[in-house]
Amino acid sequence: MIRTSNLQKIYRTEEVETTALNNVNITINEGEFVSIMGPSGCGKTTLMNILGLIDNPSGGEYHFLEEEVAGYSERQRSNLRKHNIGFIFQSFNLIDELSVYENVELPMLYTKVPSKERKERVEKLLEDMNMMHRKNHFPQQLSGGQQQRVAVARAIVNNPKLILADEPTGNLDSSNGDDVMQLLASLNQAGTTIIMVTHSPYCAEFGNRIIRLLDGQVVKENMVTKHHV
Amino acid sequence: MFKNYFKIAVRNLFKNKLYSFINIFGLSIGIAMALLIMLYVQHETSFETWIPDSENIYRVNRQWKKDADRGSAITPGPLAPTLVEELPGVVASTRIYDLGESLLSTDQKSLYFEKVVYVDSLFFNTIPFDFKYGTRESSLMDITSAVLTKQAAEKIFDEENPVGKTFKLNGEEEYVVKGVLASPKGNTHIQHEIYLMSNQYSPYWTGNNVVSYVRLLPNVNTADLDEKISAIADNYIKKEYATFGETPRSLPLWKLQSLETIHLNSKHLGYSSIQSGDKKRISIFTFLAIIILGIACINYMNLSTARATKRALEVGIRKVSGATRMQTVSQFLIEAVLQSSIALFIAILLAEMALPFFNEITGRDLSVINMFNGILPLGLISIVFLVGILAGSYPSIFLSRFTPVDTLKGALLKGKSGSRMRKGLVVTQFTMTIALIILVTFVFRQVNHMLNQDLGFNKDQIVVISCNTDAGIENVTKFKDQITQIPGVISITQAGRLPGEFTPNYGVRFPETEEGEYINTTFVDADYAETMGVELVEGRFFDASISSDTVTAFIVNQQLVKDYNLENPIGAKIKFSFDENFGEIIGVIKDFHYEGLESTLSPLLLSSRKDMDWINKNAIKISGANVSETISGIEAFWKNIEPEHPVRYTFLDEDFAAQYDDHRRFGKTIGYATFLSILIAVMGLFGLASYTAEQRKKELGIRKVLGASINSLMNLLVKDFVKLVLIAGLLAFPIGYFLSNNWLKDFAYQTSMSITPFLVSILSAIAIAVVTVGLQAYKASIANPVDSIKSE
Repeated sequence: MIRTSNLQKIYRTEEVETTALNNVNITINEGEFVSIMGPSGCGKTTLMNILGLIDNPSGGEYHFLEEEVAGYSERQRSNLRKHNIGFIFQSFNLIDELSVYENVELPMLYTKVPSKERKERVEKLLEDMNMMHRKNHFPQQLSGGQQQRVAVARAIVNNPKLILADEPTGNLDSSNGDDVMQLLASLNQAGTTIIMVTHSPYCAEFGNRIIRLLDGQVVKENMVTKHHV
Repeated sequence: MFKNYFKIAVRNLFKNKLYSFINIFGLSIGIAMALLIMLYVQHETSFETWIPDSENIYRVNRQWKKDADRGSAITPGPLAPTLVEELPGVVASTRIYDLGESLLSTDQKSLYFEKVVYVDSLFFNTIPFDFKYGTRESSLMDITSAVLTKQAAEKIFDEENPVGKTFKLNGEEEYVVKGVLASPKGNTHIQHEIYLMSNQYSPYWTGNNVVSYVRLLPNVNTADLDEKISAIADNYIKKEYATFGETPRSLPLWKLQSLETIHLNSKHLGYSSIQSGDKKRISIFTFLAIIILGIACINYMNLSTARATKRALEVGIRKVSGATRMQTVSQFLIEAVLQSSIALFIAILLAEMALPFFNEITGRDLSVINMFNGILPLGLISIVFLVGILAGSYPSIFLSRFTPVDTLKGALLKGKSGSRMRKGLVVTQFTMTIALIILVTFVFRQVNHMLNQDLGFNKDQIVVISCNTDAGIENVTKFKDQITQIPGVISITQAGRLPGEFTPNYGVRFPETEEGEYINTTFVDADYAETMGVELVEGRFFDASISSDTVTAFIVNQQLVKDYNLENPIGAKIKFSFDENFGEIIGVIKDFHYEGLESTLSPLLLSSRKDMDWINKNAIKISGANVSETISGIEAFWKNIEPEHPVRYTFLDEDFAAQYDDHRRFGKTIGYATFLSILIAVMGLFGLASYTAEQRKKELGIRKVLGASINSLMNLLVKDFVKLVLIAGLLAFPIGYFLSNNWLKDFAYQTSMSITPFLVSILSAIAIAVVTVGLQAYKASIANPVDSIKSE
């Protein structure tokens, strides 16, 4: 599903050139649950952004669903993204002015899902997440765990093949964090590929593989043997 | 999708009440102004087209050859009947002689009507107004026939059908009402109230005193016709000159002016209609509306982009969810259009509130009801979209540029981006505002300059009463001594025209010249100089006891002596062209501004003849003490002069000042516009300052912890804005200078170009900016530093 070769990302300001990613070669197959770990500033988020098609690499190749997408325009990437990728963020990133229902519905507006179907899908998901009673509330009225569950619902509402989660439990207490991890694990079991950035070894072990980054390079890859699920 | 945009837009509106208020209120004012102007334009362009056959009706004007922009709508008496006789293609023609204000009386009532005219029997054949009572064909059969407008008829005969009833004109001739016009279906420049049939028109081609209209066959080539009319009329004029042994110095060009263009295109004609429109005014209003809308749009752009960081996250999420850039652009455009739509409703209310002022400025009687007529609603909707798209264009492009990476990484643009553009826009706003302040200062300086300048005659404490009848004029002459006996009355003079009124010119000849000269001439009596305070520099004034003075004596002003190089003016020979014998100049008076200060001084001739103009103006000089008592005395005595006319008086200084009304109205227009533009610009500045204060909250907190005083913090915030206003001031100077200079160009006597208005404008702009920003800065400076530092 994902294959990169010699992927590079260099940030330039007037004086400094910073290499965020340096010759990253990874392959991720469909159905995998991969955790990416590493210290702050090692390039985890940059890698996620490139994998998630919201940023372009400075060099190297990136094959997504058998397509070479490194040189894609924003329009092409946007098209590919909205049908195939769901995002979950550490800070939830819900739109404050939209209600729970409307936040979850939003991605379907851009993929032109008919309104009746939108309603069914949002309600089904909120039901599954046990958030139906909150559907008319606004993000500020929810707890962190609830907000992240809404964000997960939003990420999967278009049935993406790939979910990118950037420290999804970073802002949650352990009980809420566990809930979110269980949710991701069950999505993975249903066939969705998941790539997750995390600082927590505990969370990382929900996946089946761990990739470790340091200074923009892959330093270690290992399969997970002990599973929480 | 649209529903989603709509929801977000509405929720953001309520969330940021201050910014929403500034945006919407500013746009409302701009749209309200646009609305009023559209109302005005609709009114101004709706003239005459409702009159049947209006496209074939024309007025005949005289135009000057050397000065093609100027001319007159006043034409010779024989013109209209000659054209219908001699020119195929002319179906009907008519002429109007303006009687001016006249008294109409029935057994029950006596009322003054302002717009009373003589017309010939073909008037309603030429201009086919509809009748309520009577018919076009039968209404002007003989010289006692009268046709009234519906309004006039109701005023004097109440509601009943007045056909067959009689009234007296100025207590003398009796007329029979033969018809009443239906209420006009639209606007027209022909605003007369009372049409009286007359067949007594001047037979001379060299005298002009009627307005002539013709009706043509469809599709006649009017340029051709202009030439034919010029050939015919000029030929008659030459023949007439030949009869008193002269050749005309120049002949006019005759031009047909289509009825439909008269209202907006008659400023250049000395006399055109009582309420003439002005194309220039439409452009001035439009220009001002665009400036105010522009300033309001800038507020929208500035506040939207300044607050962009707050929306950036939303943009990022939308993009991550699959929104394209186009979709984001259109979202913010829709948002802007939504705000301008809300502004429209407020604008309608504001326009209704402002209508009385607007009517005062324009001299029109517009009504809000008309906002929903014709193409106006369409115009309004276009304005809403135009404004929304204009105001929303920059913010939407700006916001849609954010990439998900930038926004989601949390490294949000700290208000730095776009700040240069924002500064530029603030400078633009204040440049426009300061330029307007400069212009408005000059307009009022000029009007004051004209009002306060020494005019060379005395216009204060002079009561003006007009006589309505010949008998009245004779009575004034007869009872002069008794009038001056009234306590408080110092002197009285009878004159054809008083300063500030239009002064007609007459053909005059000196023995040395072969051609006639046209010289402004006023007919006055022997007490004119004393009453008006005009100074004699040489010779003597008219003397009532010297009977030959009324025939052969002339008095001239210094300008005339200068222009015609009269070395020894006293005793110099001079005569009216049509007189046989020469008379002589007996006195020279000091120049005085009898035409006001809009035109340069021109030669003036005074004569005390009584047979050439109607000497119906009486100027009575009174002492300043007990004015009301003096006036009651005059009013009481006037019953002996014109028993059947209710006496009415005015004051010369007020009459004189009235000629500057147009400029004062212009000043008011600019004044209101300036006020509004300051208001909107200040609101924008306020919003921007509060945003900046919020942005720099942490910085201020740290500075405070490090020991900064409140003053130094305020200074920090205010300084930036004052710099912008200063730059705007410098840019506004040349613009303000250009506008003011251009406006002043039309005046013969201009107020001096001084630096004061420029300094005043920039200082007031800075003061306004300091107060506005200072308020926000103070609030930010006194905040407890702990709160702001913690907040990050």
